[in-house]
Amino acid sequence: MNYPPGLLAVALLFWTALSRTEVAAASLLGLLLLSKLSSWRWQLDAKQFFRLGDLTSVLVVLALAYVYATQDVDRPIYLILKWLPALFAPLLFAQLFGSTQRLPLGALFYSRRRRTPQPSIDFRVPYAGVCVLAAGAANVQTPAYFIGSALLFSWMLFYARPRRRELPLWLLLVMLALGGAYYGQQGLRQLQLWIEGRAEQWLSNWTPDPYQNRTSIGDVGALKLSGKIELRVAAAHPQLLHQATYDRYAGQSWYASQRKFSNTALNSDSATSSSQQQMTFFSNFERQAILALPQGVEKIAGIEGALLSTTTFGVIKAEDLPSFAQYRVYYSGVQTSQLGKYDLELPERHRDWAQQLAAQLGLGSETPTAAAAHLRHFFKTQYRYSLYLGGEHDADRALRDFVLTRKAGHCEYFAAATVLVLRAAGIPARLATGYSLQEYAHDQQLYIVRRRHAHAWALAFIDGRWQEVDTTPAQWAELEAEQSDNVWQSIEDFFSRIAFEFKRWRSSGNSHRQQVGLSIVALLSLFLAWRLYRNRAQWQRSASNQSDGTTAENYPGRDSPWYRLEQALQGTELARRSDESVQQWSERLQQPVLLEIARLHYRYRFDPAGLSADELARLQTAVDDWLAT
Amino acid sequence: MLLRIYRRIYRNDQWMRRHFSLTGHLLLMFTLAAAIFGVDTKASTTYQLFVFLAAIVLLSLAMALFVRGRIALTRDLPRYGTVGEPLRYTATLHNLDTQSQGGLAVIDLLREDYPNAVAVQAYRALRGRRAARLINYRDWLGCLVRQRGGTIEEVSLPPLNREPLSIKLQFTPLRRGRVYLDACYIAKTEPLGLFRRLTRFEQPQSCLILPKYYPIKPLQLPGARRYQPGGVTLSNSVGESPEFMALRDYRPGDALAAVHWKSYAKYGKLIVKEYQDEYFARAALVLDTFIAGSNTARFEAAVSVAASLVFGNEQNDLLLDLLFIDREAYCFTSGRGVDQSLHLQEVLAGVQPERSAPFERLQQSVLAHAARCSAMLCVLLCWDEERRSFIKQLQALGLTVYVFVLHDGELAGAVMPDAPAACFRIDSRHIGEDLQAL
Repeated sequence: MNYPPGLLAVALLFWTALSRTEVAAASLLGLLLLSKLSSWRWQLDAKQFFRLGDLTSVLVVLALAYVYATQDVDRPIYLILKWLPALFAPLLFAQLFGSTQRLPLGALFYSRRRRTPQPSIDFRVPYAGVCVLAAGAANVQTPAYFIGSALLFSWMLFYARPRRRELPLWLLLVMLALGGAYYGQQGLRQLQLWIEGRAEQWLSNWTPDPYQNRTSIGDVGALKLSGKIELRVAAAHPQLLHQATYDRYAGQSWYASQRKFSNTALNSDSATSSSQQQMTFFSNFERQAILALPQGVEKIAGIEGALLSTTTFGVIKAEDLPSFAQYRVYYSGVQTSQLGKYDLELPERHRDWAQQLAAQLGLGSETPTAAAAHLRHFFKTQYRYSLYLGGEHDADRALRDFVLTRKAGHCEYFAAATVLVLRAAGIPARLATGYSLQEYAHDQQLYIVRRRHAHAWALAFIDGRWQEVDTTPAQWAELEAEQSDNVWQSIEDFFSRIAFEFKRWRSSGNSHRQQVGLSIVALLSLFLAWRLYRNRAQWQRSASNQSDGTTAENYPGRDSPWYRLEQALQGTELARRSDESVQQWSERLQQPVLLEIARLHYRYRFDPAGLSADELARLQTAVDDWLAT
Repeated sequence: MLLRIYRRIYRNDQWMRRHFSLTGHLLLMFTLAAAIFGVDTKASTTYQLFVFLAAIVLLSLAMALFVRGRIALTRDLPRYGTVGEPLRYTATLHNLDTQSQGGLAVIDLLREDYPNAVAVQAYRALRGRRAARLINYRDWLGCLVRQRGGTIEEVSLPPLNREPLSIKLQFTPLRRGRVYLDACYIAKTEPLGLFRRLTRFEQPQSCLILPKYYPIKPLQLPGARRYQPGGVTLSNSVGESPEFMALRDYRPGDALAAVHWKSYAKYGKLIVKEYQDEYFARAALVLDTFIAGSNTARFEAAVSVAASLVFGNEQNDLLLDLLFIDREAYCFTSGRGVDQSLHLQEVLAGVQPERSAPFERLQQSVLAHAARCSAMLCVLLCWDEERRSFIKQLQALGLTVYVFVLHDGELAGAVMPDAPAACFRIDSRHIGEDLQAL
């Protein structure tokens, strides 16, 4: 590929103009200029080029690790993209300061290293392309990037075009591409915005919806259990983590009648807590999430940057969350939200069995506390926990089937049935979902909360506050744990633990963190540099300097008397021709003495043992004698 | 399944290599990179570059449809090549259009069959590696290239005018035996210089690749010259065919048939024709093809040693019989008046290892032949009991025996029991040096 003169400088300027990387670009341009002005060239062999290639790859990986570990940027990959010209600079300058002025392909592609002879390329053109690509990371949403990058690539293509072709046709094609691409890129951007809008709607079904909960009641087959770790919690004892509350059961779903979120300052410094109870959470987040928290949260410390909002049901939504957070929650354990008009509502279709059951158990005549305990005992003794979901598609009928016939189901059945029976007995009740803390990891001294620990329970309004009434038989956790794949899960847990420890370290806010990262990078770079230069690299004058004769090479035997002899015959017909070796010349002249001199001269030049003093003297006198004759 | 994936990868790779120029490849890489970094149009602007480059690539593909040019091509392939030596040949192109054509390249291809698992394992064995449970792509590709016989370098052409253009192509054969060249392509780039349109020319030809041989000093075969009645010309047939040397006076005892009657008529005295009796050595080169207890790499080395011996003894005016077993016993003879040593090389180019038959078969065949020879050159794959007794038998017949035993380094410096005086150990990893040092 032909190199357009000045391309590198223009590409670097384009990069710095958009990315504001003046210092780096100035250094690179300085080195570029130096390579033009200086005649010093470095003799690098293929292996050294390969090491430089390795160095570049390692630099990219280290930079990625460093950025990821220490910089709090949204997408570290774009920061790396921005600095690609700096990361690839060693390869470029190895070519520019190298004696061959080419870069072996093996330095860029590992698979090409075994090839002999090693194919090589002019790296300047690809490097200019890298600069153009890197300028895109600056994300300057003006036509500047489009115009600049398209023109630079057109310039490269102009020099790479087949010469025989007519220029007008080439120009026409490039103009066509430019025109098409200008509208195309605008279309592409709009397309992405449209797709994102659609995808957002779709993805929102994946996060817990605080307004509507499509239950697993009515699903058929067996419940799928995932051992994926959702969060880790440092807590004093096992308990329930509340995520969402619902008060209306209509059709197949539970709804929340209170949907309005209002901002709360639970995470600000001004929030106070009188409670001694606290928990520490470690969790990965998307940008926004419904937090799983204990009841009666008073203060959250550690996610000060997030925007928190809450409903009257005590559901807490967080936005602008970091990808990983460690936060401390102070809580009272008491939820005192006011009663709503739906808290005693019994759906028409479930009224019969709920009232029948309430009457049968005599709940109406008991105090609410006793009724809740009675109900807990009833479900514990008469029902059992099952992951088999039955064969009933209709949620309403499935619930009825659970209560009256099957008497086995998962937590959502128990919770839904409890809520309805409590309401039938005149006790206000709601359905709550969230997680149950149950798996304690002794080595980490943390509770591990897995996806399969997701749980549902009833909240009953007793003694002026909402109390948890969990009627699901206690063996549910063991049953679900048994069903999971232990081998695979332990592997997954292992990697999850590593990632967790790393993120914990990363988010710990240690002031030495950056320095540690930097010093690791520096040490590794030094080690690589040492590996690279360990092989004796030689600086030598470029060919142009060698030819002017100012630097005579210091080869052995260069003071041989033979050269006097050659010099003396210069210009005569006996002079040695340029295509003749010393031996051939001596033979042509047919002088035995000359052959003897040539033999001694050869030994003086090439024999590692050299000539003895006697022999050297003999060579001197022989040359003198010959010249005298 | 895996091999099918490799085949697909290879085919796609080849398609890309043939159809895109270097600039095209570079542009595709940047298009891909711009697409990857530009996935999120809100995070970077490289998607704008992606759209431009994609437009260029699409235009290039479209323009390739209009690339035309009528050209005729003929290839001139030599009959023989040698393993490891660049094989150069020419191709001649004729421009059938009135205008000159540029941006052309010639891509000549050797016929290739995709290797199966057995072939790849054999290839690994040849490279001195153990059989692998999972075949990797590198081995598969290496085996493919070896089976094909080499890789012909692509040649870019200067502008093709009205006069024919002769170009030099070359490849370095990797194996002995016959290689086939089927089709030759001419690639022509479109105006942007990214994509190339290929025109196929059917030119089925083949070339025999001789085994690699190394320079070797002619062996001194002491006492090997034996009177061959009738000279070398008919030495392996019956009757006399003495060569005329001079006329001389009759001496009592000369055969009457030798009298030159025309000279007698001219000079009036008996003059006889004098003949030069020719003495020739006849030697047998025995190639051990019994690979059991050895490996393919060593067998290939043995073939090379045999080829070197054939060439090295070309100047030794002897008849050389090549004996080996390849499913059945073979004997080929070369020497002045009989056949050229090149034909022995041809035979060696095709010889295959014998895996099932016992070594005794070679023994019987050689012993039956021994009476006609004065020297035996035996190239053996190992030095076991069978081969030792075989060499002993040959020595017992009073023949001069040269033994070349191939090894992979295990015989270096080791004591070889019952080895004859002229026994040479040849390390299969550096045959050249060992043969030079004989």
